Amino acid sequence: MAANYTTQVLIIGGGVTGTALARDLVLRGACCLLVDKEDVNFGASGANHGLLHSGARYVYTDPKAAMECAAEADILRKIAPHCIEDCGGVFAAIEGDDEGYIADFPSLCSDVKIAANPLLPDEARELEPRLSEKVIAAFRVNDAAIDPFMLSLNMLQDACEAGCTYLANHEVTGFYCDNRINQVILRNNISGEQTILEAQLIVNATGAWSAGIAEMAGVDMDLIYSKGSLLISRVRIARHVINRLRPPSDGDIIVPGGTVSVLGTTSILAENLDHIRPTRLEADLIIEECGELIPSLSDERFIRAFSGVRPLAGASGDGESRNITRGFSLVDHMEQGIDNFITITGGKLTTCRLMAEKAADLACSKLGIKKACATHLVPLGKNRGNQWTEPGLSATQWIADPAEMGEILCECELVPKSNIEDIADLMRNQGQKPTIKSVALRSRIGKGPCQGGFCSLRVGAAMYDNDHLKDDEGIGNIRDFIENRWKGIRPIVRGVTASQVELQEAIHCGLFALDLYE
Amino acid sequence: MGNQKELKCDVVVIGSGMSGMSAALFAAREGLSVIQISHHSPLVNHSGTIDIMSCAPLQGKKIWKNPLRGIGYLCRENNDHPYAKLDLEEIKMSLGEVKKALAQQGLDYRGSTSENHRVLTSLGTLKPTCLVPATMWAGEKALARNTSGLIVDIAGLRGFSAREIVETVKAKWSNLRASRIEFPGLEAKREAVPELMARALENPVTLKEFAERIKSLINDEGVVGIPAVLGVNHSRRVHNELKRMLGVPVFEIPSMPASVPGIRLNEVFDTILRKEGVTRYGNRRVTSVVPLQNQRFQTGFTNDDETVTINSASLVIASGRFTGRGLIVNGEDIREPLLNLPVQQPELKTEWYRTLFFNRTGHGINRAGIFTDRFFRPVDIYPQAIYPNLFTVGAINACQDWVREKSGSGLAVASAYKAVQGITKYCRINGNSTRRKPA
Repeated sequence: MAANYTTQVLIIGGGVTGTALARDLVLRGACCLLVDKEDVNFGASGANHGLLHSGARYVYTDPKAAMECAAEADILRKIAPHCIEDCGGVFAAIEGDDEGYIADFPSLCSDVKIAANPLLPDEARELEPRLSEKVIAAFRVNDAAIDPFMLSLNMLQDACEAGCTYLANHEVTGFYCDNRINQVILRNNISGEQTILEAQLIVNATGAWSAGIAEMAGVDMDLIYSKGSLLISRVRIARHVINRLRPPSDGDIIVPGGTVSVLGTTSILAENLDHIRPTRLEADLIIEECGELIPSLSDERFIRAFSGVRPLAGASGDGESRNITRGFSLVDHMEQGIDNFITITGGKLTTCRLMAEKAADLACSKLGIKKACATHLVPLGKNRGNQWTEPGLSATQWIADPAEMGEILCECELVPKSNIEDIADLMRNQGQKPTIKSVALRSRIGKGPCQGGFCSLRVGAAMYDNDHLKDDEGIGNIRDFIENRWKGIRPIVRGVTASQVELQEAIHCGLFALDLYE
Repeated sequence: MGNQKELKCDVVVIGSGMSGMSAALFAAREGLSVIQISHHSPLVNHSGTIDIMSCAPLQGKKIWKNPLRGIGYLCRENNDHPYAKLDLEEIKMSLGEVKKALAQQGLDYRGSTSENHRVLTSLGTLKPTCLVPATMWAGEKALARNTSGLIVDIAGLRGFSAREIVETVKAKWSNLRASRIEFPGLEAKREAVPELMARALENPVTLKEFAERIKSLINDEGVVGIPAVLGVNHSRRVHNELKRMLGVPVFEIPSMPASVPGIRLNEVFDTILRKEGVTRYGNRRVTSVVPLQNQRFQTGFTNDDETVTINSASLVIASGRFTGRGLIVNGEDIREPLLNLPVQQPELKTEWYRTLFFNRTGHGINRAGIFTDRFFRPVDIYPQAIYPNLFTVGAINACQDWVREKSGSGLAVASAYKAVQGITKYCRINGNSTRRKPA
């Protein structure tokens, strides 16, 4: 079969690893095509705390991962300061927590050279007034918050500016291979069209979906899937990252995300990767567990819940997903008889650059590229169309110049019309077609208390006006976006959220009859 | 603590949505003295169209051509549905009375209770509904005939794009074109607020300029669709004048709240009820309802610096579901906050909501609510009326899904009508009516 498209390297998966890898490879002069079956950070890269680890979390279970985290966090602070809020972190133990663990913590940290400064309980409460009266030990660490969307989107933009091509909504559905992958079948998930492409090298960076991709090449991968659910509060609960000082378990961390906080996590072994959704039980568990650290949490209003699947490499059969390494795994499938196929999986948001570096080293050795990695030195780009995921940014810019920024389309997060245009322009330049969902992914649209009920309608109208939507695409766009938001609202409906849902349903189904348009 | 004030009346109505307004209207027309208390004005979120029964969410994709046949079918399938407590004559009569009352204040509705219509929305979708504001009426006929039409939007009006409407509906109405005007007096880039534009168009000078701007865009189109901004209290006059000035029929297109058709309903009902002698307290949240020994109710709320208690022969709760706080979600269960009435609800929290928001059958929580007898009096498990003089009307009642059935206004009006019949009967038997003095 004749190929419709050829490239040097095909990267499958547009998460933090895939976008970091694309950036790394183009900086070394490789020609790349990046594809994702949905869009940037659709998987675990977009469904995590947004935590830049100090490493302290892993000193007990995985000292190697702890050191990697500490080193990588320092690099990201240098190359991507615009994606990071260096808020610092606190580890706190409360009455009844494992005293042996508390006693070991400082020495385990110093063993791997991770700073952990002891705090008296009163000092900890001075830093974080909402901390429980029952705190018995606390330490200050170098945790920070990082915006994984801004990170991936800018890595992608850097790559695209240097010649990488990005195709969203393109899914790899099969390989033609003998001792190498000769051709790749790529399906456009919107139009259904198929493309045959050829690449010298194929890199599988699909996170939890890695084993499925590898299987298409006849290669087995030993992956464990751990589903994690998290909650977003309506307001920011704490200034610092707050960790529970105990062995990793459910509901042990609260990470600031600009104007909100992200609370997590649960960890459940998952069998089926599709239809991953947070449940009411998980949401209740997180509130209960995190409530031990911050007792006033029970009065808090939550905006939504979300779930991701962590792919954990190796050691199946243990059954306890928290005990498996959070390190990453880089596999050259030559060992299994496929010459031009690499998988990079596992790992963490904090170590995404390092994972990309190692994968790119391997790729370059296969491609005969000599140039060394530069991603730890070259500052990450900062594109106007990629800045709007930052909470509060569009609001401050709009207040400074409302005429220039245009009408407010989202009243919860104060997102003006010009944000939509910035994002749509950038997407068009990357050869992509903007949708309400993809614009929302790149902005604060749908992130506030109304969760898209009102702004989806205004954004849709604005996108028709500017020729981004045609025919009756708007209906599917709105339904799709609302269903996506609904996943996260459903587990947390209580009190005032029930009114919000009722009003939204009255508008979308009662007034607009969208329930009748399937 | 401020002053204490005590009032006495036949009926207290809590809530000012379609059901509260209708209950106050019907009760006042029965000669009963009525005090209405409400915290906010839900009618401003109303689309303006009066739904009676358009769909059968539990019975597949059915859209009813005739709402009354839909109700007949539904009540045979589900005899716990609030409509099953009414006969069709009562439904027709009650809606007829409301339609007439609105028309007397200049708010005209078209259509009859035996036929559903399709109203073009600002999303380009077609909403099945029953009674249609006269200002929206011309759209359906033009759609059916594929009349050449012009859809005009207004610069700065958010969530309303003529292009979106034309593109979305073109498979059903191909002969449409989109265009845009600037509203007289609003420069580009400023936000165009529907209510302000609607009030501005009641001024003949603004209306004339508005009409001229639209007229300059018409080629040979036989009908014009515009956002719903044709006046608030004088929509009949504004609509007729615009039609005359353009020389073609004009129809309004309803869009997201807060929308003018809803504000119209709210203001027109306010005028009607004031004329009927209803005492209305807005922006007040009821703080307590106490059933007294002598079978009367004492309802309390705070009014500025005074605490008001009302001693009434009967009470109508018309405060809707969650948005109006008729019901509240209280962690593990759904409760009625004023009298802790029994609330019919799904057994498990996990059954409240479906996995998909747009699931065609609707969410379990939507059918939660108060279970009543045929006069809309809440009942206990036996099932006997808990109080002979307590009524719940509209969306608070169980076993209906007004959003998915598209039955909200019909249920509100008809249940209010039936409850007022119950109140009249109760007051007559007990002879404790304080009959309003003639004005």
